[in-house]
Amino acid sequence: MKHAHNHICFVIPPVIYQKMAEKPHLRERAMRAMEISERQRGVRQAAMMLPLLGAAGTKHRTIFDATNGTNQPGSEVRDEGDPESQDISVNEAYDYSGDTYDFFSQVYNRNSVDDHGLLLKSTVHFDNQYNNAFWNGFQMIYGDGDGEHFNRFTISVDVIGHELTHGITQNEAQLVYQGQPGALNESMSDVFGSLLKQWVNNQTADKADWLIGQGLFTDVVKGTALRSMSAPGTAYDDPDLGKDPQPAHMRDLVNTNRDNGGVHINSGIPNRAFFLAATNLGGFAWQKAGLIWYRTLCGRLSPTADFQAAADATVAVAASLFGSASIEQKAVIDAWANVGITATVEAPAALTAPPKSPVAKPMGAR
Amino acid sequence: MRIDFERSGGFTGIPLRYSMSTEDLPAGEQEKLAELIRAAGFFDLPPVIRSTGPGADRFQYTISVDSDEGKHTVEIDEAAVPSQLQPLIAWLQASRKR
Repeated sequence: MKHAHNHICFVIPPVIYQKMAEKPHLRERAMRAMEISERQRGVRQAAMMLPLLGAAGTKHRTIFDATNGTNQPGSEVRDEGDPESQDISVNEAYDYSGDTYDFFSQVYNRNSVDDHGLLLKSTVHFDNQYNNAFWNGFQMIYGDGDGEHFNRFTISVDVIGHELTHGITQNEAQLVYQGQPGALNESMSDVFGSLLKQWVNNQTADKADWLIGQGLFTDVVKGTALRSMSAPGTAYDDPDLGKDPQPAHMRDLVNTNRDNGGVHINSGIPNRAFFLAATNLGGFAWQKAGLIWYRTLCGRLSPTADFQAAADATVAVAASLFGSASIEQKAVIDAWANVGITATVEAPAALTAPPKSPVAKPMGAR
Repeated sequence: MRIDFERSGGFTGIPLRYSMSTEDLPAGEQEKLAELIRAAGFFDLPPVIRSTGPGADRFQYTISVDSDEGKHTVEIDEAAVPSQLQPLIAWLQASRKR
């Protein structure tokens, strides 16, 4: 392939701007520098840089309205930087996906769902009286709820965080959405949905309510939320909706072929393990327990990982982040033990190596 | 005709489950339901229709029809519902309010 000659001379090499643009706090400066250079040289350098910058990206949200139909994505109604809408669902989807972006960027240095600035698209008013929100593999979709038992599904920030985390999992561990790997997938979404809510409200682990989807139920429902990470199985008990079916321990693992093998049911077990580790360690849960879980999700789980594999991986990650036999590792071991899983704890390398020289016996010792 | 309908999964994980005998429906509704089943080509649908693509928190439906034409059950992922089946599923979900 013949490369065209590039007669544009940069004072600062483009690769420097590219590197700057990858860092959120330097991106604006890089773009401004290139714009100034562009005006001086009459060349659209910034446009040439766009394919390179696309790799880094920024927060870019777009909200669509399906107007109670099922076309995806629907009509665009609000783009990044546009003023507030009259439609509260549009504004909630916009604000909360922004919070989710900011959370992952500031806490874990992650640039959107794919860590490459993936556009954050949300569709609101999907279908008619639709009691659901979902990730379709590319974007978020929200129903209005039937107004009888459910409010609109954009009402709680943790719902948005839950859905976007499915996108992250799809780009990282790719946990299969079935059985235990699927329940792990669901649990990761609840974990980071809850951490997002705690971060937005600046709550330490002991102050958090550890509830998922609080605000989704209307006043007639006998229940506080859809799920409880601290006490799975206690979130609701309603004559119409039934009782929260989640187990809190492996002995109560649910065997079903509904719900892809109970992915929304058995997620209670790893949810509780996370709650225990986070509250044991105290402070802001996203800093230690959340970091362990995040690093586990990114590179330490296979797509078919079961709860045992997750326990082993989180324990190993805790050791590599905080040290073997650290209080952090111990908290993770204990958390899994409390839900009925004995994690495999690898002995640190130093302890398995033989001593370099025999230890001299003190005089007089037997 | 007897119909068993079940919806599982979704973000809430709260299932919807009911059975009905169409003899209990008003005549107009019986006809409408029969037409929806015909339009869906229900008895020719494969017993299991899975969505192969990415995605999470979608519903799964199980529909059983026991009629003079025969007995058939279809398990289907929300993302894989063909357009001819959508009206029947919409009707079945709406009728739970009875």
